Amino acid sequence: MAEVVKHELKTVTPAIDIIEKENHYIMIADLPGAREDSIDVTINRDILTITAEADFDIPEKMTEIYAEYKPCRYHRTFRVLDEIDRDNIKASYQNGVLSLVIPKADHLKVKKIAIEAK
Amino acid sequence: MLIREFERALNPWEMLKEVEREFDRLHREFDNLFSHFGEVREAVYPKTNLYSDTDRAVVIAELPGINPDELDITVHENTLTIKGERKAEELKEGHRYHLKERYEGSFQRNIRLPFRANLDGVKASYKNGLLKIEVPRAEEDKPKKIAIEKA
Repeated sequence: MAEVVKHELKTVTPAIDIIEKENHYIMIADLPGAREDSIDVTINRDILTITAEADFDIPEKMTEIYAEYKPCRYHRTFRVLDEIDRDNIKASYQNGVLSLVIPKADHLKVKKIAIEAK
Repeated sequence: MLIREFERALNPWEMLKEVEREFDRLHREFDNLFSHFGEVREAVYPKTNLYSDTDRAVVIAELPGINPDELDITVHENTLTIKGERKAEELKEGHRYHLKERYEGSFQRNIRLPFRANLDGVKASYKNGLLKIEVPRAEEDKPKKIAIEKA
């Protein structure tokens, strides 16, 4: 049986912002060149992992004068605590940017407490 | 002690421990070392690849999350310039960053092409956060084959 040997892509750590809002966190990852169907976001126990593969069409029959980046595999892992609602994480991808909306666990959400009139 | 624990509970990302391989961590520290020199960092944003043959050049730049219509792309003789700005999200009161690594601010790259460009033929496209610019070579700059006269 022939074994397909896939060329090992270099692993690149993507730049990430994490913003805390009242009721959720937003995690934004720059994944330039990533194909949407290659992006994988998983949460396994307390480990959140983002992986993706970036490639681009190297112009045919052209000479590379210089290359500051190459096709690569993006990989980043975080350990998250219990204070998030892991079942309701939403992900979207546009223009090379992955955005995750991660709701806080219910008991941490900002609640307005009404003041009772005496 | 109680207050400290309480703060932590409100703030899960602060306690995030990355579980990457040591290699990745070192690699990033190496990158960060350079990012402290503001000018160096500006000089390498966006990362760019350049390809060429005798008739045209192709520049592909990593520019995720920008509006390509707001970019300023100019060609002068054999220099291609990409100028733009990457704005961070403005935070309202009570919102805050736990991690901020993505490039923010204005940038400019001057890319020297291997020949003079035909300005009319320059084409740009944007996909998956990659900006691709195709620049044809100026006709008068193309190599000419010289016929050898028979003696």
